[in-house]
Amino acid sequence: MQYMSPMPGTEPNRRALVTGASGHTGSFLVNLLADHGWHVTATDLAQDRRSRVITKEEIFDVPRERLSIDRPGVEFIPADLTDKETIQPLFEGEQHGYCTVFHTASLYDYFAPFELLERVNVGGLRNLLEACYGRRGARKNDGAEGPRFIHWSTCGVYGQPKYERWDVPADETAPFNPPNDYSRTKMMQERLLEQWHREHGVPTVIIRPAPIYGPYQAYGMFHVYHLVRTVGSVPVVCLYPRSKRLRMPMVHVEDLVRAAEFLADAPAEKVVGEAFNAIGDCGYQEDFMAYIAQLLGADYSYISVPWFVYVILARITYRRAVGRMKGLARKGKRPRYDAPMAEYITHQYFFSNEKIKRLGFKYEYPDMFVGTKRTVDWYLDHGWLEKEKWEVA
Amino acid sequence: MGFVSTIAYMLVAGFVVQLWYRRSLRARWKDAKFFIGNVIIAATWILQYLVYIDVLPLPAVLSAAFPWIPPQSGRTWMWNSWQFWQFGGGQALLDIPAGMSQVAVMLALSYPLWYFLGIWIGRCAFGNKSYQHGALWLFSVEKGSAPAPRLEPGDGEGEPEHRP
Repeated sequence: MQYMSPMPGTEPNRRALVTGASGHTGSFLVNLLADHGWHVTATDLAQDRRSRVITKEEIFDVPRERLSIDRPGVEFIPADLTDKETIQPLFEGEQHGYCTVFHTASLYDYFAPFELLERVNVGGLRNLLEACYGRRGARKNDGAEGPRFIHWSTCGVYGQPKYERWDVPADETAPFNPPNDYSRTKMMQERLLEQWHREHGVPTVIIRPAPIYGPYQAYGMFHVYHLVRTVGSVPVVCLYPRSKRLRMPMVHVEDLVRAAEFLADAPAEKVVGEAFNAIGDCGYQEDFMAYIAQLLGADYSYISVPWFVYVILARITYRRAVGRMKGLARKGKRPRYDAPMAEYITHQYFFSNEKIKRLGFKYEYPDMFVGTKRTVDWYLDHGWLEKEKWEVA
Repeated sequence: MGFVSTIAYMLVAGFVVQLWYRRSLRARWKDAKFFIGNVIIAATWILQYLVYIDVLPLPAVLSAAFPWIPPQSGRTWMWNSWQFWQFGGGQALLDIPAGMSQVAVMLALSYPLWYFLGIWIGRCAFGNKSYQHGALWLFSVEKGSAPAPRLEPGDGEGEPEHRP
């Protein structure tokens, strides 16, 4: 039997804690849950502290515009997951008896040093689990479990899997092989959760999103749009042999938060203790680049390259990007584009979304085109991407 | 000004016009670079023709001004304009074999291509529209860079570690 999400407004009163609520995904999630009648306790760093940690939003001179979570049904309590004392108020009082915790908070910054990533992502998760379930774990005396814990991981934990066939996507059973420090801390989070699930009975559900795109996003996919818009020309690389074409994994933020709510509502026996990729149907990188070049008014030219030549050039480019990032870091600067973002030009990231679809979840933006068009239009309308001077005037 | 060296001038002209166009011209006149290109190419063709048929005494003027350039006909000069850059070195004139007039026409007809190649290189380097900055932007010095993330003073001062 397929599970169907209840219609918004028909659910009983449900309470959720959303961490990272001021972030890109968190703010969309809070709004979706509030739209669907959830009582949401939203938490994130206090603004002054947040601006010290989330410096990635300052890389480009774009409007500091965020999706507001200031609305009825949403209570905001600032907290720092690395500071246990600030987490306690999230769990005090009857109004904070949650049925679901959505843990979107993490330091997603490829430039951050590993120690900081570990402290925020892994240490912060441990503190949250201890505050939420206590040291004894989720099972209470009456046998009832604590809140369902929906955790945000990343498809990056897989790195580039060993594909049996290049055109068959890897599923959730692929082994971990994280290619950068951020993904490494996400893998450590997953292992910690697995331990809490196994030893303490915490009802965990893990979402592994592909790179997220959508309005208000200032890091990650936005960099691709910004790069194409600013440079103004794109060499679209057609690979030969064609069987080696690289995929473009991505998920629209609205699909991602819908998937999270779906997993919160799904029967426990089908989702608890499981991990789910959240990813649209992977198109090809060359199609994506040609499409956004067209949307963003950039020139594009097709360059046909044999696979081995492409691999050599892409690796040189990637190594140069890493070298440049390290050079700038030594000067106390951060680059416009963090090197790990270039991993997509050297790796095949092709993941399956069948597992969540088999439960009955439907993507609103299954392919990359409609969502990308709307997202790019939003960036242009809101001044995040430059227009011609006379268009602005 | 010779048939061959003009190819290089056309490339440079296209490149410079594109830079000018990107910086200021486009805002005032969208088709400026095509107009300027037409003017440059047409003027070049006319001048070259007049020199070639010895109506414009360019070789004589240059020869008077720069002693290492020997007196010669316009037709010879158009194939030997490299002498201008030779600064007193070898001054041998090339024999102009029969059939070079056709080659000259072919070269002159290719000037628009070289001009637009210059435009294209300029486009890639500097961009075309007012919001584009071209590939050179990637190598420009980063100003006002965002700081590294930190929770407390002292955090994030280490160099980021990245494993490819």
